[in-house]
Amino acid sequence: MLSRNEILEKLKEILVAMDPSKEGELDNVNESTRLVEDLGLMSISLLFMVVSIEEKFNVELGDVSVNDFVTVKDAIDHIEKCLK
Amino acid sequence: MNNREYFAKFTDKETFSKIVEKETIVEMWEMVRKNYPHDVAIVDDGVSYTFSQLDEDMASFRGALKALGLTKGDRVGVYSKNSYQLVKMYLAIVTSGYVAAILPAHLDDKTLFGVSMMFSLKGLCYAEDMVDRLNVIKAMNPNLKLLSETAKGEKVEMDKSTKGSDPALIMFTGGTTGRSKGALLSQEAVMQGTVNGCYGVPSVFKQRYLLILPMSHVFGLIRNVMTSLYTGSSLYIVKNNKDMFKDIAIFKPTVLVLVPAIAEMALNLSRQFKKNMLGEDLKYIICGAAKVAPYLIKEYKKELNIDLYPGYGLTESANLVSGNPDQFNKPDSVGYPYPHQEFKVVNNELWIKGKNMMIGYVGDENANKEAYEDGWFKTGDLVRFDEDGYLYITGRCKEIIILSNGENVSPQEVEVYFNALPYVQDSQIFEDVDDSGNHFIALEVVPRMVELAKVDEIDKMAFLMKELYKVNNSLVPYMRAQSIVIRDKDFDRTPAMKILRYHKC
Repeated sequence: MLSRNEILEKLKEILVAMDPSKEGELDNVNESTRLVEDLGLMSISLLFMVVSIEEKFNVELGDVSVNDFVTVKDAIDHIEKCLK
Repeated sequence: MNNREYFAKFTDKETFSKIVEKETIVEMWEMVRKNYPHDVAIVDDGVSYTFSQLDEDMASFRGALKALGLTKGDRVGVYSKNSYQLVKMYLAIVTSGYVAAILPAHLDDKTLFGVSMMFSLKGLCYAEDMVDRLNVIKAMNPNLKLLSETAKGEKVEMDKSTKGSDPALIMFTGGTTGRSKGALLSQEAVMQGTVNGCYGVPSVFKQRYLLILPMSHVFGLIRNVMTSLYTGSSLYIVKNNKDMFKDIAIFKPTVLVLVPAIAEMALNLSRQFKKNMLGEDLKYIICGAAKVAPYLIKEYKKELNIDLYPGYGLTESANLVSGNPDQFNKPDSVGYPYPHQEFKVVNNELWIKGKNMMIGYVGDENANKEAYEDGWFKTGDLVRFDEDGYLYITGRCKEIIILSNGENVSPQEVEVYFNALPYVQDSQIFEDVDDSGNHFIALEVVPRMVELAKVDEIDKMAFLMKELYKVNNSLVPYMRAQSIVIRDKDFDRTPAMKILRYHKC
């Protein structure tokens, strides 16, 4: 079972894959980082993130919508729940 | 050579001869139910529906509509997310002589009521999972006849007296001027748009389509659903966009109708996970509703051997104006014009007349005056044609922001929400671009200091920012600003004191 920190690191890899130009900025990402307001993600990027999470963590997030992910913490919570 | 003949060289002779133009949706349905009765028309929630089954369900729903006491030409709203039932309700309405208004499923209860008045709806067909949002409309518009998607009546045949010039459909749009309204499309306009979808690709009939776009958007309804039905293809309805790649793995589509942002995302995901996320059976991507970057055409071919066809269309033109069958030689072009249209370029702006063009706007009489001149529809798009007759979009002369996911955002419509705050003097929504070239919606606000001074908060700007974000978060996600700035001085203004709008992109 991955720790929350390990999940966060993998999540950062997804965020870098989405926009490699933001790699430097992502060092400061933590659980309270807001996906839309702080990272500038748009609905398509959120969709990219959700699909990537399922592929990368090999999990099924179930009937979630991209609007369920407001902060990095929300994403980690969902992943952690699926990994249990 | 007319425009139809131009497209003949991209499809084999036998297939091309089967692309027959139809005047009405009734005629089209007569043809498909005869040609493909036992083929699968729709797959929804794991259930496959044949053309025959859909035909019977339409007939039964026509009976339920008739029992409401509607008369020919009455307007009937359809309020549902994408589903088999939505396809059935829409087809039953337009083959009964009524006019279907496909309402975006994200409309809230108050807007739904407003739209029912604006479009003068006589009836509203709704999905059962939308019932909670009908309370306002029930209370405020008691004469509106409501019909559940599950309603059944005695089977009623199609209205064979339907003519090509009869109104068939109202599509919700911001239009070229930005205010929400409906584009009223005739039966022949819908059919022209449907058949246009067959031109310029090698394989046309008996394909497997996936429906990702909402049916309340013409690209989803006409190029995706209608062309799929016309060609006897099967249409798989994606229920949650996040599952689209799992659905692709199950259904193995041969054609996808995508906005550029989704096409780009799918390519990036394929690279990241080193596999073709769109499945090995996919031959074509029909891409439109926003600008298609030429690199997508080249890289899809190179990396996944998929042909991506860009095109151009408007809600007002029943979606399709042009499509590009020569995309590798002319990747910047939105294509060659489809048949039965006339074009005029005035001060670089494209003006159109044609069989596929709308009858007019509904719900905003002034919009018709602004949109037409001497019978020509003024698109608001700046264009040029090359020596081969291919069309290129060079810019916009209106204030609509077209996002890469195909959503149109009218700045004025979004600003209304922020201007409603007593602490806001004025606001401007605009499209901006960051250092990496990503486009986004931005908001700048001029505070109303008199009102803000009354607020019992030490940091008044922080308070205002919090209020602005509250409003922002209450908006439909695609309308939300990604950046909010509070200005310390007024905007530059025209002599008439209108805001001088930014044009950063």
